[in-house]
Amino acid sequence: MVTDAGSPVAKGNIRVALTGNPNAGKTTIFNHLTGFHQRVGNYPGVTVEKKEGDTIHNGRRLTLVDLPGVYSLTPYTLEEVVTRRVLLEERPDVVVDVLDSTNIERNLYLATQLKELGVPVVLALNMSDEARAKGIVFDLKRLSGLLGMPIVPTVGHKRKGLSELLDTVVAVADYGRGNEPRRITYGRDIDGAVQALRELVEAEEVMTGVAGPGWVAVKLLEGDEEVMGQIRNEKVLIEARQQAGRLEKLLGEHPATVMADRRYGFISGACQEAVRATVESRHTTSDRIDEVVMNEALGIPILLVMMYGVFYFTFTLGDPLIGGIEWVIGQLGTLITTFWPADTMGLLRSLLVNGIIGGVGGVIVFLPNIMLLFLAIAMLEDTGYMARAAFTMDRLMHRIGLHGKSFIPLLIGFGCTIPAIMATRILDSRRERLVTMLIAPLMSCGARLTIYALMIPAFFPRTWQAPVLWIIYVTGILLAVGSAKLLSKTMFRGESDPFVMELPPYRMPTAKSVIIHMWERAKQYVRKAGTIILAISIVLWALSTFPRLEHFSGAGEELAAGAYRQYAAGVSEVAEQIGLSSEGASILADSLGVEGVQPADLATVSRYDSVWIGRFMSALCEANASPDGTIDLARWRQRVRPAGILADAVDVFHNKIRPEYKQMLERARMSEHQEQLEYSAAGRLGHALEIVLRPLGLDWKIATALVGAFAAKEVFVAQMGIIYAVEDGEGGGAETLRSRLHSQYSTLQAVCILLFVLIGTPCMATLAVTRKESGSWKWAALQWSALTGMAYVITLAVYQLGLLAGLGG
Amino acid sequence: MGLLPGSCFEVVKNRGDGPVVLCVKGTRLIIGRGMSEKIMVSS
Repeated sequence: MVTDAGSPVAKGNIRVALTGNPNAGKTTIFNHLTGFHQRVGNYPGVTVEKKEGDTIHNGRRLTLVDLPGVYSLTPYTLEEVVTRRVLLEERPDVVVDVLDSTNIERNLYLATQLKELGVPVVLALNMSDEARAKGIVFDLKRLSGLLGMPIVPTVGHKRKGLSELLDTVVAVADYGRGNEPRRITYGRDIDGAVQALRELVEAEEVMTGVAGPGWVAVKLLEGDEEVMGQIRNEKVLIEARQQAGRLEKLLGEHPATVMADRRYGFISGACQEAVRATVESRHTTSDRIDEVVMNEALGIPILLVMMYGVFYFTFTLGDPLIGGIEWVIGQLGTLITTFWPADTMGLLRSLLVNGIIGGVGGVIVFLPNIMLLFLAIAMLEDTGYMARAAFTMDRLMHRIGLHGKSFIPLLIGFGCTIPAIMATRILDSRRERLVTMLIAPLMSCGARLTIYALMIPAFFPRTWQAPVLWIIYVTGILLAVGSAKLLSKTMFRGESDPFVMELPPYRMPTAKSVIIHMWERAKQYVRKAGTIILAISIVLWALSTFPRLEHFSGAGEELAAGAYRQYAAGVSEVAEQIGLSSEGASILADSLGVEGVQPADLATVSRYDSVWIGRFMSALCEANASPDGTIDLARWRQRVRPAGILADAVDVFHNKIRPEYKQMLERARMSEHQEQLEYSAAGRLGHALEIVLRPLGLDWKIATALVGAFAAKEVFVAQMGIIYAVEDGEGGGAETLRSRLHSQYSTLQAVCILLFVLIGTPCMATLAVTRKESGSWKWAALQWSALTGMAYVITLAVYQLGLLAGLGG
Repeated sequence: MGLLPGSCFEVVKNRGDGPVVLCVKGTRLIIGRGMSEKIMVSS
């Protein structure tokens, strides 16, 4: 251990930065140390995640920052830039470099650069159990001495060595500060140039920040763009370039290359002395699995099976949960409407039930899918399969200018676009993330399927239904492929990152890391996207509620009155059969009412059930009472017929008269809804949109439903139900709606509706998540307008060509 | 990533089209076709 016996510095908080190569187990250690006390954010201006968490060790509070996985500190990738910035600007007290000990030489490269930076480093020799299993033996004391950094062996996923690691961190923070960084010698020529530059930097009093002039001199010689960009002093820059040029001529290679070589040489030398490999071959099991998984013939089928597994896991397991959530939300709404009468502050009640509860419901309804998806993705990533999947799909995806891994979010998009866009996080390059995000809504999601399920059977014969559905899905895929190609050839041209990726050896994922991953995503989704979705839900509620229609045309009331007339007539007919006077029958109709006799009572009565007959008789008696309230029992008994007739009468009442009445009342209610919707802003918007949408074969009714579909695609069906005054629901309702649609629109128009729904107007949750994931509204707006524009052009072409071809009929 | 001028590696998988798998100091790396064409090997 390299700790100077100096006087302890302030015993306050210790800020610890965790760095390391990707797949070295950095995040596992971070999760074990901080548990669920994590704060996740983004670094300003970039999409790289920033994770912080606290832990208490021996009464000291340590704040840990989990930095992105990097291989070195060059400024070429976003992750490297972020890591460097944090180290230089936030100045952590100690940097813990987590090493994959099965891969020590490559992992130590970052450590040498950290050391050069002059920050106090503690090396965590992670996965030391795996290294031991592979026959790698470390002489820790020696290695630590050679490298000039304390080393603690750890096994992250088994929590081994973590306490010792924190002991060392605290010791270094308290005593080890100010150690002169051990510099690697780069050879006489380079060292001389570094020294000369360093002196010039000091003489010119260039701002060097915490890293010191020595580090700046090294970076200047390497031609580090970030450092060069920050130095305003022309003299220093010119000198740096001249020195680099001179060395390049002298050494035959750019000094940066030679310096990297020297660092590797230094590591190699240290490892030769302190690390011994007793067994020659390495991760052979991994290789054997790769033989199968990355096989030319088997690779894609295996990938498809895996993806099917993810899809199945996410949606099949998620759907019952979603059903549960919807049920709870529905119950909550019913509870409020039951206890809160409609006539007191009806507007507030509607806001609460339809706006807020509906909106919150719309947010959390996606949660099961998001959590399960990220559970599955975390498992695929942690086992190491994800990198193989990327390899397998790369050839195909490359043709449309995307990365192999883009395949995964796109596939998820068939379930739901929200988790699909969130899944683009598995992509490392921003360019690919954006392209994938933008085209993801073209993968036809589950909510759109409800629209197809309504429309297709209404317009196509049974044999055509499946092919039409298939064509819709394939159209979406083809458009996505085309758009990806177009995007990567236009907007994102030249930004392409070279595809380089590590194939980590297969590992067993740990439950904790997988669960934390899932938990974090869920939290982020609710916090960030959730608030936007809720806000838009309320706006859409307001759009379809205001302005309020104060005076209905009376059509609804007329319908309701007609329903009652029919009901009363039916009842008196029944009453006639069982020998009841017509005045009595009208009273009976009232007293039985719709709520008069519970359906359960009627369903369970046997024909001679005494309880029921008693109840019905009492109703009859009441109905037969003379004005003064007395009942002429003798007269009534005489008129009553045998019980079989009575039972038949009840059958007719229960199975025909009552349900018909209920249905007609519902229609009357829907007719008021329809008037309100047409009068509301949404309805007016629909009317206004009709001017634009008419050339596509869409009328104001469809336009209004589309406004609603912006909240969530499945709302389209409900809106159409309201517009056509059909009670929504399964079976009968949908059939009625279908027959009305069929009478209203041609098949060509139906195709146009399907196309427009498929391509255009991604739902607000999609926009919210795109905004969140891309970091700017710009991309969300581009996505929305480009897709809607594409939908418009394609639908227009199809409709107009269809009309020309005489398919309008 | 440890793949620098002068480093030794072994080509593990190359199907003649699509990415190539290399083995550098015991680590498997995937590199894209375009990238692999830029590597000059001296034996």
